[in-house]
Amino acid sequence: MLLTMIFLRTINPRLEEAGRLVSGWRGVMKGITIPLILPGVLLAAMLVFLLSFGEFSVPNFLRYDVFPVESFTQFSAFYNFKAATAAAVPLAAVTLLLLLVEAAFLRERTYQLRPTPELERSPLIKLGAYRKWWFASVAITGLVIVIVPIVVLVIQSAGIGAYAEALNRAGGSLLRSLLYAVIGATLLTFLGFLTGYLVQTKALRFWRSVDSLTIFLFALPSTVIGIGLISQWNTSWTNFIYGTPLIIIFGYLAKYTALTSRISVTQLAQIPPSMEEAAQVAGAGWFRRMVFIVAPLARRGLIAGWLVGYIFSLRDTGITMLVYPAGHETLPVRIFTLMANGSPQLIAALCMVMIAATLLPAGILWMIPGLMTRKIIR
Amino acid sequence: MDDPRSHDEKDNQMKVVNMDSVSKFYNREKALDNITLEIEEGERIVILGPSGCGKTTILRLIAGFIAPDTGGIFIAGEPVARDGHIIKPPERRNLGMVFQDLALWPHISVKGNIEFGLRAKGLPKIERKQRTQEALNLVGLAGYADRKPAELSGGQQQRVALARALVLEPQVLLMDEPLSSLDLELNIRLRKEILRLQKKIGFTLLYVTHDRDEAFDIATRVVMMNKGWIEYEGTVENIQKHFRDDLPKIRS
Repeated sequence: MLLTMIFLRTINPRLEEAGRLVSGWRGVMKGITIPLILPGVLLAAMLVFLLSFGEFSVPNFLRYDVFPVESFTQFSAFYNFKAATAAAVPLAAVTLLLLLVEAAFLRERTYQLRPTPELERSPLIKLGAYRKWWFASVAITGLVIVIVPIVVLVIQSAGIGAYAEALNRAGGSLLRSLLYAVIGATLLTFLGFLTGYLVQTKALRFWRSVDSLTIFLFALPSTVIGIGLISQWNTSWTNFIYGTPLIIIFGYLAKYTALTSRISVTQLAQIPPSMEEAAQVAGAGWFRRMVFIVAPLARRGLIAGWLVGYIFSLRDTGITMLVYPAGHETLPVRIFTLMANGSPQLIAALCMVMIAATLLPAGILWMIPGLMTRKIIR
Repeated sequence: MDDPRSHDEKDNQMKVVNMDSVSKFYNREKALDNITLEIEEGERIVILGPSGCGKTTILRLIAGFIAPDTGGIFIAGEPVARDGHIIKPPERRNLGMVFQDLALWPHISVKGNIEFGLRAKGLPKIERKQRTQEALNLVGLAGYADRKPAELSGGQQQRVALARALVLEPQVLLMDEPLSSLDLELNIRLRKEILRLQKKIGFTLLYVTHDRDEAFDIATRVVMMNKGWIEYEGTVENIQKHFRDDLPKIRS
C-alpha cells in the first residue's frame, strides 16, 4: 500500500487533469493513472512476494514450517550448518532470479516516475454514492487486521501485574533492543544517505551495482543473511564482531540499508542539483557541501529514514535470532522464547511494550515543532 | 632567449577564459561542436541563442560541472579541463555563478548564503563579516541580512544571488539566464543593476540568455549560438550592422 501511494504521488497531477478535460475518472484511471503506475505496482507486488517468501518471524511464531523456518531449524535445533546453508540456497536463487527480472523489465520504467519538485496535491476523486461502501470496506479491513488484535492484547495484558512481570523478566532485553535499534537506525541513516546520494547523483560508475546489492540484500530472507553473517564472522580473528552485539548491527545494515537508501533517493531527487553546484562554485568541498547544504535540505528524508531504520531494527527477529551472542537477546527474541512457557498475560504485556517502544521516537519527533514541516524548495 | 612555452600556451595566459576546440556530446548527440571562445578581462560577453543551442552547456563546462569530450578549457592560462577529464574541480576555479533558479539555500539566512563561500575558503571571522556587509551594501540589502531567502521578493532574491557570487571576487562571473523568470519591468531594472555593479567592480561577465534585448543591453560582445556551434560573434554594433533587418528572432 505504501509503495503504491508513493508511486501515485510521483504522477504529475497535470497529466490526470489533462485527461479529465476529455474523460471521466474511470477513463482517466484506466487510460492514464494505472498504466503510469503499473510498473511501480508490479515492482511493489514483487517485493511483497519476496518479503513474504522469505518471512521468518510470523510463520515461526505461529509454528508453520515454511522454508525459512526449516532453514533456521536446521541451524538452531540440529546445529547442521551445511543443511541450513543448503536450505537457504533456493531462497537466495529465487530472490536473485526475481530481481534480475525486475532489473530487466521494470526498473528503467519505474525510475521514470520521479517525484515532481513541487509537492502538488493530486485531484481528488469524488466517490459519490459509493463513498460509504468504500469506507466500510476499508474500515472493516483495518478493524480485522489492526484494531482487533491490539484490543485483544490490551484486554489480555490489563493490570499492573502483567507489566511488572514483563519488565522484570524482559527489562534488559527491552533496553538492549532500544539501544541496538537507535545505533542501527543512526548507522542505517548515514549509510542509506551515502548510497542514496551515490544512486541519485550517479557519482561513481558502480552506482547501479550498489543499488542492486542493497535491494538484493533487502529481498533476501533473513535466515540466509544470518547464516551468511555467521559463516563470515565466526572465526577466531573476528570474534570481536561475532561474539558481540556488533554482529546484530551488521545484520541490520546488511538487511535494511535499501530502505534508508530509497528514502534518501526520493528526498534527494526533490533537491535541485543547482543547490549543491552553487556551494561547489563557492569553493566548498564535498564534505562541507554534504554537511551544510545537502543534509539539511534532505532533513525530512533523513528523519523519516531514521524512523524506518529504527522500526525495522527494533522488530527484527530473523537475523537477530540467528546471530545474537549469549546474553544479548533483544525484546522480540525474548518474547519468542517466553512464548514457550510464559503466561498469555505476560506475552500480551510484552507485545504492548513492544508497540510502545516502536511508537516512542515517532511520538517524540512529531512533538518537536517545525521538524517535519514540509517545505517546497524553489 | 626564446620562451620555451608553446605559442598556444602563451596565448592562453592572456585570456581569463579560453575554450579551445571544445565538443560535448549527450547520449551520442552533439551538444557543442568544436567551440573556440576567448574571454578577456573586464569583458561582458553574452551568449545568445534559442533553447537547446548549447549555451548553458558552455557555462557548465567553464564552471567545471561537466568535462568536455574533446578540446581544452583554460582559466587564467591554466588548464582546468581537457579531453573528457576535469583537471580542476569547480570549487578550485575561483568563479562566481548565478543560476537560472538562483539556487539560494532556503535553510540559511541571506547573510549565511553570502558568507558560505568565505567560510569555505577559511577566511577569518572579521574579514568574513566585513566582506559580507560590503556585499550586502553593494546590492542594497543591508537591512535583510537575517532574513531567509523565502522572505524576500523575486528582485531581492536576485540581488542576494548576485552578492553571493560577487563576494568571492571571482575571476569570471557566470550568469545562466538569471532574469528569465522576472517580469519585464523588473528584468530591465536588474539589467541596469548588473551593469552598474560590473562597471563599479570591473568583473568579467559571461552571461547566457535567449532574449535579444537583454543581450544587447548588457554585452560588450555577443556570441550568437545555434545547434551547438557559434553562428556569429561580435560587438552589438557589428551584429546589428551585419544582420540589419534580418537579425534572427531568438526570443523563444
